[in-house]
Amino acid sequence: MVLKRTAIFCIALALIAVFATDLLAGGYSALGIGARARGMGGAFRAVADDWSAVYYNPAGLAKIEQSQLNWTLDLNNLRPAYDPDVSIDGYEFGYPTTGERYPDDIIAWSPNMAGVVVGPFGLPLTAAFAIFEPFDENVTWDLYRFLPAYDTINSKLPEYDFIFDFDVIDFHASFAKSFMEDRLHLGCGFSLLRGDLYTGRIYHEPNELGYPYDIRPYEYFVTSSVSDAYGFGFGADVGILFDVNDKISVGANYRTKSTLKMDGDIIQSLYTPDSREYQNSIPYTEEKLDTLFSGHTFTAKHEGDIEMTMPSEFGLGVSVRPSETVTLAADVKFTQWSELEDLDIEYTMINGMTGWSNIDAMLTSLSYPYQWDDAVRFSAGIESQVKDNIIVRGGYSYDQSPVPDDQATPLIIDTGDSHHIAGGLSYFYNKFEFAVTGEIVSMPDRDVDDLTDINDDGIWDNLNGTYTNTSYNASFSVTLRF
Amino acid sequence: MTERNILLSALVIILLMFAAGCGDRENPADPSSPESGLRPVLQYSRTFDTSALPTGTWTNYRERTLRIYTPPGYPIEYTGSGHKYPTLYLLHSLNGDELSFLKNRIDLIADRLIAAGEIQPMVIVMPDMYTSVGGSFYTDEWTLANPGKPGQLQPGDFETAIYSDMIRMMEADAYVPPDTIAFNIITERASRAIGGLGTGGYGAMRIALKYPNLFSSVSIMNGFVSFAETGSRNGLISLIDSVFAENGVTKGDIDGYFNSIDTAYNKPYTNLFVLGGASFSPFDTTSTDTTTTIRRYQVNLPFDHNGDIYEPVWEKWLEQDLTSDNSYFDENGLFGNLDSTEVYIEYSDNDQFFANDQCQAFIEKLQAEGVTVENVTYSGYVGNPAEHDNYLYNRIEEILKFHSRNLSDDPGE
Repeated sequence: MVLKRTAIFCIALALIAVFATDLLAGGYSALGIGARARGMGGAFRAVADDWSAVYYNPAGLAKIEQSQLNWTLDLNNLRPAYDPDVSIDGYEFGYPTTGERYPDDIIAWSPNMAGVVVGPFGLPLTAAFAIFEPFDENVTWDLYRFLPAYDTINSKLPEYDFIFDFDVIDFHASFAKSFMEDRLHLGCGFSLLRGDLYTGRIYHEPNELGYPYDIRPYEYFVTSSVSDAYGFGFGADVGILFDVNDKISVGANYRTKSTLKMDGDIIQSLYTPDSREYQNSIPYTEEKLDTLFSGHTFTAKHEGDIEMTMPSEFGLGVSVRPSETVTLAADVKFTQWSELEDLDIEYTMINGMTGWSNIDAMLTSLSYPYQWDDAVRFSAGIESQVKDNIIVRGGYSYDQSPVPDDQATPLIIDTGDSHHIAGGLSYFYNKFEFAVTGEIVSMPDRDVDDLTDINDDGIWDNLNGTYTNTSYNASFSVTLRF
Repeated sequence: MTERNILLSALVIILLMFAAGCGDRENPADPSSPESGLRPVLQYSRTFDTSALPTGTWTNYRERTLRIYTPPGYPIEYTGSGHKYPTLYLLHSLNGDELSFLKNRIDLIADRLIAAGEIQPMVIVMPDMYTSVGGSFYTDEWTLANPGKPGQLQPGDFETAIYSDMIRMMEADAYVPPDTIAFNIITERASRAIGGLGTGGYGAMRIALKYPNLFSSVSIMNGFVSFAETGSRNGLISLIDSVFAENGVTKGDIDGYFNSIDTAYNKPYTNLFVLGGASFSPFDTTSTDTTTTIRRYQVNLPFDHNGDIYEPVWEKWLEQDLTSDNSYFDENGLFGNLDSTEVYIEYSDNDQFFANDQCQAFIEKLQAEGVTVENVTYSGYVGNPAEHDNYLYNRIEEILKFHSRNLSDDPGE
């Protein structure tokens, strides 16, 4: 009977997964941490009894009875798509409307490691150290094509024109202790964050030369930027877990906002259109305005500081154990994405300037606005022990997208409120637990139809078109208990 | 179900969930790429060899680039078989090149009009006829000296390059093997049109008049089609004062006239008269009359150092003037060749080269010859008046609609 139910459960899960249409975590957050927690849709704050408690609720570490080592491999197969519709007055602007476009299809892999020690050095607490990726996104597009006026023998775009490869590794230490006859558990954690950012994009600098030099197709100058930076940040988190009785537990966690302070190289290129007519007709000035129509590419290689914000987060969870073998759990997580600050470059060394202020100004301006909305994620999961050494689990979550339409670009693949369907199982053999989880994240189509410049720098901060995304993910984990 | 089966079933299901998204995805090919499978050719650059144009040491005139717009649905392989399209040839103006119309989005405008059913699909060919002085009037026997190499002359037969070489190449005359490509175009007069802007407008009408078997539809945008002043209307010759002004030379300054009048990127009026001199009055080395000879270019200007018309040269210009009586076109009765040709003339009412006056004078000339002309005046917008080519992108649409109405899509086979 139990086996039959297990089979039905697995088949139902697979069907849901196959027919689900969208999936990914909000903003640039990772989908989740830990094969077991992800298998329950992330509803883990009131369960939190394995190493992934360091992420969901450090208080749960106090419930761990045996020290353990864990190694997890997450595989994330991101499948975003973008159908450009970027035009001004009905005229295309370098993003061919030839249909849906795809980035390089990649399977991002992320190894996590953790160790949990119960009663280290004889102390009455539990300590854990983990290395994992709480924020991760990697997408690489080849989208832009020069219009004829800009397509000269001197102009060569980067191989990929929209890139966002952002990895944050959390070196995380946590501590937890139980109180009130082991019914109340408190925990805290500290993060050393290492961030690596490699990002680039095409953008259009407004032509401020005025009439008649700014008429179509010269309203904008095409510019590209590529930034490669790394740096560090710090953060902390606290958690509480309370066992109301033998069957019900409630938990909560709070993670502080962190700021990654990175430095690196920034390459900016200005691609000027080729117009003999304008080269000839613009009067000579010290500013060499005619060079703006020379068809040349001006490239500057700078060094600079970049700060990126990791938002604070507050979560609540409840778990219910209706029987010895079944656990139900539900979570709600609130992420304060509105804390993000615009990604502005603070140039520490400027190289490759032309000496002409109008061109140099365009080669030293770079701003990525991050004026996102706060977002909530709801999760629900179930776990059932179907045999002495087998536990199966499944989960669902609904994750709001913090990215408003006015900042929707191919750089951020969080294209809309997402639905997560997950399922997995654990197999116990001697001191080992082998866990595997599958997860599909589906996002609905997002239609963006209004080019917007939200920070008034003359550069569009979004791109019109239809965005969609589905990702297929798997997680494999081995835990040794001793 | 055994323990092993449970594990295997679950593992397979999870792997299937992951593998569901592992299929390859192909991006649509670039529309500008000839290799594109979705939209075979949007613009196509190629070089065509023309024996009509010389090979120079400072500019290689022989190799010319064409930009060819092909409509949606154009076959990927240039086999010359399958559906064939009518063709429009567009000639650029002073300081223009093969990109002049593309820079003003003719490809996107045509795409939009075709999609809306407002024009029929057509191939549009845009050649590069730029020269060191900004172009030509698309005449044969064009001659210009190389200022960097005194005594070296650069001859060129631009008229032949257009009416013969370019069209032969487009119509697959096995002209330049092995690079010859058969285009899917109709090789009948009823399916060929020609148009141009400025000097290109002059060139388009000149070729339409001289070779009436080639084109059934001709358009002029702000064409330099009337050299003399007619009544209150300005002609090309009315720009003499502008030539003196932009060179900083005062009338009567004979030294300034010969040494300071020079072409430059920002001297369009001077460029226009020098390329006119190369087209209509190149210096004859057997002549002793150097009254208006600009030696560095070996061309004769139609005005002297006082700004007065110099008749011996001016007469040569008037022979090639489309509007003047007793011109080559008049005396040979070429206007009768337009009986079966649709003619469209459009002008901006604030053209800095007085092309508006020139076009109006030419329209009157054509009407006096019994030619039916469709003509349009364009004014631009309040505060932004229409000049020679600043609203080209607005007007391309009308040019395409005009030719589309006249061109036949019947391959006649």
